[in-house]
Amino acid sequence: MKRWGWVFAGVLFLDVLCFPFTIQAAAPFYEGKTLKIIVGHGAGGGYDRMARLMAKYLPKYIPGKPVALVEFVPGASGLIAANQIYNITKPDGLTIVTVDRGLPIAQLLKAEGVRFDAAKFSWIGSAAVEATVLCIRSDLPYKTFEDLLRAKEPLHLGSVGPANTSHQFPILLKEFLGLKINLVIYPASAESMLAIERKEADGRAGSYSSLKPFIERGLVRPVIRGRVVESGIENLPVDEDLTKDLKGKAIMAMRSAGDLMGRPFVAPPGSPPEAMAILREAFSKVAKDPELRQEAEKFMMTVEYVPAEECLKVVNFVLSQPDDIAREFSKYIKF
Amino acid sequence: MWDAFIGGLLINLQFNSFLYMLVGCAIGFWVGILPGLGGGTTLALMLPFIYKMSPEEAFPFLLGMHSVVATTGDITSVLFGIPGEATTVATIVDGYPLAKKGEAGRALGAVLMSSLVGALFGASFLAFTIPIVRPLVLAFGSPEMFMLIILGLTCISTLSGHGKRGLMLGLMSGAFGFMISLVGQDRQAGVLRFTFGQLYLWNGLSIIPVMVGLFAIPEIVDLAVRGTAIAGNVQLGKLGKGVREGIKDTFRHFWLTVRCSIIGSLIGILPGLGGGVAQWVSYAHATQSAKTEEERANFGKGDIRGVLGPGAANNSKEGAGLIPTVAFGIPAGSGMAILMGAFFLLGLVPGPDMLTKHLKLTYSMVWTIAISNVIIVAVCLLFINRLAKLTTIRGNLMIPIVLLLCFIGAYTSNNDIADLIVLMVFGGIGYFMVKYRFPRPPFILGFILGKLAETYLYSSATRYGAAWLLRPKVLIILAIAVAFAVYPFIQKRFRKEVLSEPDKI
Amino acid sequence: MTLCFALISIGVIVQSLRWPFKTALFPVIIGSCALILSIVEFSMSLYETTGGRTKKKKQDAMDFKLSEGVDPAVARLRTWTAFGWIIGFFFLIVLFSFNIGIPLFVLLYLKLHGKEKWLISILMTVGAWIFFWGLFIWLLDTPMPQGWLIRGLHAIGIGS
Repeated sequence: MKRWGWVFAGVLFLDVLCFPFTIQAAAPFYEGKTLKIIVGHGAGGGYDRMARLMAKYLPKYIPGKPVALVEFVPGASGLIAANQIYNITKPDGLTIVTVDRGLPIAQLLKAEGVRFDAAKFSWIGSAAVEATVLCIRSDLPYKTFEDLLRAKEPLHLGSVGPANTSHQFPILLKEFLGLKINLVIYPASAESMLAIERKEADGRAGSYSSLKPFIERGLVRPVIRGRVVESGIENLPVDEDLTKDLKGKAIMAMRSAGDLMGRPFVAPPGSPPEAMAILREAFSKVAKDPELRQEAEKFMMTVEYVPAEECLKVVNFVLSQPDDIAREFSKYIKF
Repeated sequence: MWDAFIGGLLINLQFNSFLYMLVGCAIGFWVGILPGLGGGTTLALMLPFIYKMSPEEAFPFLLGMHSVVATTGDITSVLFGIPGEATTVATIVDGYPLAKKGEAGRALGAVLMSSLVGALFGASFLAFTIPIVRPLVLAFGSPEMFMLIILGLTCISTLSGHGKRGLMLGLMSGAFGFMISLVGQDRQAGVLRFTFGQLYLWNGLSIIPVMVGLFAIPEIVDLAVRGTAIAGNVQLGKLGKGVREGIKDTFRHFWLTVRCSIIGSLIGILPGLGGGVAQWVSYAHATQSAKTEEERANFGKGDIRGVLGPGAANNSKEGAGLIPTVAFGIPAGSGMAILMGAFFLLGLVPGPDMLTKHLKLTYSMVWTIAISNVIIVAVCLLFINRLAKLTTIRGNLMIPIVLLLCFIGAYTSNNDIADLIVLMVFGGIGYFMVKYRFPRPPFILGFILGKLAETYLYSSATRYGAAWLLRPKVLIILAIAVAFAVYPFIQKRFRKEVLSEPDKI
Repeated sequence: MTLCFALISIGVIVQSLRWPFKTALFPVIIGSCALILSIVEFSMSLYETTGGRTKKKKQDAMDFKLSEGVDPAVARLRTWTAFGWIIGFFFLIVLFSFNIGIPLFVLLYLKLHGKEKWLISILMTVGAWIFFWGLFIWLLDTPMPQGWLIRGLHAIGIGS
């Protein structure tokens, strides 16, 4: 009799252990909750559009179908948002942030105001790859990068300031490939495109997705790209390949690294693993959603999920650079 | 082109589109009136709602809201001395004193009518320049932009109050504003200037908390000091009748209104300069229409022309602002940048296509601006008496509400508490400026234009070497700027000469 | 005031000299102009007040002027009170968050400062709160930071 009693108690005990799990299977983590997607930049830009796209389609792939909202915390190129989510936001899986892809670089350069460790965020992944290209005005006689190198006049390139890809990519080309350029700084990329139309500027470097509308229109044509590739520009020469300087190769590789995680999404460090798993799965599935792909194409955006491990690899690659390389890097790249 | 013109109208008159436009207008009405809550922020907030709409419905909605904001923003400026929008600050300078004199009705009538004239002008400007838009915008390169900014800055001298002393104070004010605009990450070298280690200051100070603090807080404090209603101790009867007077004023000074509309449109068309500048340049121009020194002294105390000018300009720049946005995909201002986001959401690409394939849609935007403003002005005129009566409510009741609106407005621009600190700091600065007779308009001008001037100076110099100074358009604009700056002094000299010849009749 | 301004200009120029040429150019130029102007202005006002040739014309700024009708002592008291309330409002918001701070402020101001009747005070408080909550939280879902007190309470364990 006693034995049966023990068995019974044992079964009961096991049942009780399983109970919370059954409860969890019954009520999804995100049921009835709101997922907040914070954008670390101002409204209207590429990060904004990606966040809105995600907010619209992600709930389909998250069990419990939460409501997804987009919020803006602009300032300091995404640093304020990154600091906030690292230090203040509760790691309950309900808030995620899309940060600037230059985040690890800011940390490496010990930029003023960095109060986070990029590697410690709970990484969800990146919603897209953002390749960098240099485009020049179509009506210029140069057809390939080699033509540009042989040009007698310096090329006037529009940029937005030294903390921006539009400045960094060409500076490296000038330093390590000998491209003759004159960087002219405009208040915003829109003004630099206008300058190109006016024939005041000859071209601009930037993310492929932001330049695509102008390429399709025929205003500019791409001539050289960074290591990271997107469909449509595979055949362009790569800056790293063209330079023989080892230091140059390393620095260009570091600059390009961020492109792989073009639209990174992170959650506060220490977020619950189930939530992270759900989010990662959702991001990966949503990138294949046919409706989303259609809409993304309308905006000329490409959505491609880059898993968290890949993003972390990039982060660690940048952060683990030896001091002397970091110092060289900081000569050209500012955040 | 004509069939697109009519076609645009027909789009707007479709039931759905018209309905959405009305909703947009209603939203815009409140956004304009609430200080700080800006057209730009609201556009961003409205974007999720247009996901399900077609372009013909979405644009009347968005533009109906945005183009009306400048009209109703003037109302807050006049009634409370608080800028309803970043673009309606100039209306405070003469509008609010009128309200304090008990002539709120007149000021409102004038501001609404001039806003309507400005809006219609801006819309027609947009409509008729569509064919020549591309060469027009392309004609202004970096050097020309720099010169135009200098032109804007020379308005500081006209806004400075008269006499050498006044000019000095004005210049100091402008210099101070200029210096404040340089706070943040420098564009040339990425160096952080004057940020004192605060991340918040990386991108510089936002205009809304600065502006609301500078202009609104001193008014609130003064209201508390006076202990009366805004309109002082004036009888109720006068208020309502003033409206018709105000409307008539618009037509009495019709050419001034039109000239200021032109100024608004010309400035609105250039990306980057935008509404902040247009209102002040037109205000300066309005003051120049004063024929004597004594007359000019009245500006700032309630001259109706000081209301007409900016009222028209901040509306006419709306229509013009669409030009580079639609034709080039280059936003003319922050509101337009968000509007471009809408373009993408609807699957449209701003650029030459909008002027060819989608011309009808572009014209419907023109009509939206025109029609929505007509509707709003009509509605406002109906309610004007009620609105004007607000100035008779006890100050103590108004203050918490107004203060509330200021705080919320300042906060929502960046969702950052630090904005509230900025609000209070500049409130204090504004108070001292008023106390020691430093004029505030030059400060705002310096603040808006400072960093922009620096950027364009460097881009001109980097691109063209020293040669940019000799470009023809640059020299022409420089000449206009110099003329603007010395006009007050020439006028004085001229008057003296005339006065010294008493036999000439 | 002018003196203040001069000091700020000096500060600006000194700091700017440390920066690379392009970055420093504008601050230095504008700072110098400001400095010169403020020195001139300062000496002119000194000259005036020390009984020099008094200028008859009052140089008015083309801008709003503080009302003159009130007795200066009263005015000063009221001014300080007004600023006090503004700063107080700020702290209410920081401590209690907008949600609670706003109605609290409206109520306190109307009752304590305005000495309004209870009915009006309550009506306006409720009105203000509904307006704020309705528009910004319900309709627009604006993110509002939690007040420090609330955050403190949460940290201790009270509340959700």
